[in-house]
Amino acid sequence: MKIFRFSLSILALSFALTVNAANDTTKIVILSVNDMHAKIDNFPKFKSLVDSIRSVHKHVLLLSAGDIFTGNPIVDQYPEPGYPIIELMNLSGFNASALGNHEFDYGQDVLAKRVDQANFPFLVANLSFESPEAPEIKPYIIHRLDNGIKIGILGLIQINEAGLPDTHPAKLTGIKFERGIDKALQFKWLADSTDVLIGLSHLGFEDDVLLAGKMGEFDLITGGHTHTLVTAPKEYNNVMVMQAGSNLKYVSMTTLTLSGNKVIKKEAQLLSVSNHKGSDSAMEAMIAGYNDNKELNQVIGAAIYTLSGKNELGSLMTDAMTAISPLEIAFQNNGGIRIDMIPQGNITIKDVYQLDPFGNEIIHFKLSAAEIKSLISNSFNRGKEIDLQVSGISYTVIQDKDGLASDIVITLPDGTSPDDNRIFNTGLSSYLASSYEFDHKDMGRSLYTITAEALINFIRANKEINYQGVNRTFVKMAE
Amino acid sequence: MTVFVNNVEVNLFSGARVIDAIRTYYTNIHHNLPDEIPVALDDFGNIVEMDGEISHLQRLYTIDHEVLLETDQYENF
Repeated sequence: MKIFRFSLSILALSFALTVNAANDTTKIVILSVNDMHAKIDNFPKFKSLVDSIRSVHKHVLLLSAGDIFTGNPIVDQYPEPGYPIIELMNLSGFNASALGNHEFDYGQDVLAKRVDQANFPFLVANLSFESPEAPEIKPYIIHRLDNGIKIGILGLIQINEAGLPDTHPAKLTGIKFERGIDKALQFKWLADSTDVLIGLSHLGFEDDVLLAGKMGEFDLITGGHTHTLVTAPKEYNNVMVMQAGSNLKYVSMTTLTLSGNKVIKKEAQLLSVSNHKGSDSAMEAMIAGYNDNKELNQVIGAAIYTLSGKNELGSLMTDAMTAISPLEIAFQNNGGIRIDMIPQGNITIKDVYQLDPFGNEIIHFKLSAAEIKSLISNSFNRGKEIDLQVSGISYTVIQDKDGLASDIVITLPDGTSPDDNRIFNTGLSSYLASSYEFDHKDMGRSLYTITAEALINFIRANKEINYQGVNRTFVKMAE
Repeated sequence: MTVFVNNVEVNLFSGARVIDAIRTYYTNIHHNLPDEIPVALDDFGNIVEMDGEISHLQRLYTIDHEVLLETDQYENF
């Protein structure tokens, strides 16, 4: 009889557990953004959108898949570079961020300060710092919900063909990187220690899909780097792979439904931040303050005389490029010189961004004198007029009776002309490098420096700027 | 690095972005840029933004804005 009563008790308990298990579902909402690139203007709408989702769902994780910095002078030129966006991320309640390649753009010292400022951890598994004073970067975190469910989040960063993230190599001194996918595979064990496993990846969408194929232990890989808009979310090897464009225009929202501690359903969609009606008024006021700050009006030097016209302004812009090692020669197309003059007197950061607003990077090519002549010749023949301003040399276009360039004479600062085979370290803007035709055996490489930043640094270093009457480009009719 | 735009091989500087690949493709093929740069899609049919970073051997495809808007998948984007 005792045995029967005991069995009945077990049966009742088992039934109760089954019922509980049937109702024991947990919904976890993962909101993720990537590649914000210091674009802070959408934060009030973003915060309002996130808060509205938090008001409906109990378990919401807010993640960033890297590349927070670089892309907005308000943030990039702030006295403490990057400070504003970390403050806004703190107020938005981010739970973690992957470290993107552009997180190194301000240098490791600044990165360490921003990591300290953040109320959330930065995650990357595939790097290791040699210095003990390095910023505190974790490979992963395990986030515990109040019902005991454990969510593992593993961070990964892109590396290029040279084995480094896409930033200036000088910013990466003392850091070792491994291939992200290879490193992720070493963390398969995390799936046994957690109920949900998320890849917070800055590898790029194609690599995220590859990773999903090799590591089905992930429930979700939410990534960045390639600025991909996943408009029709899909699972690859049962792993949902998401990415939300860039610049805080979109948020990816993935909802995982768990029965007990097992994921039984995944749904994902892309939400538009720009189309969201609400806005956080406190954050609006903060951003108005940032945008109205003194940073853009900061005086960085002075023009001794007014700089006017393409020759003077283009000479200044290209000199700023050749001030960067190892460049000896640099070119700037006239179309990229966006103002007619910089008046005599103080020069501000705002002046520089008005002169050069495009955010082009400087690309380093090793070009022979003959290849440089092909660039000058092709550019001239586009409109039968000078189109490229230059630093490091002057040049004369010999024009034939049809108005086309029949020859180019390059003159070095010492007055001589180089042999056609002589190689020069030459800098071009990324626009010029990709949209002008010219002979070049070297495919070139980005120096990961924005042309406007080079100009700001050049004016700061030289303080007094004088380009009165400077002209390095000439046209002569063929005899 | 080498990428493929509309299955045409395009050689680019390292560190190039989507816009650089599209510009180089048009410069190589048409010797000019179109008035309106088309939308770029990746191998999976996702839109990739012009400032997106690209990698060696990546494949991109161009599609006109008008054609894209007629496709249900992209109607809200």
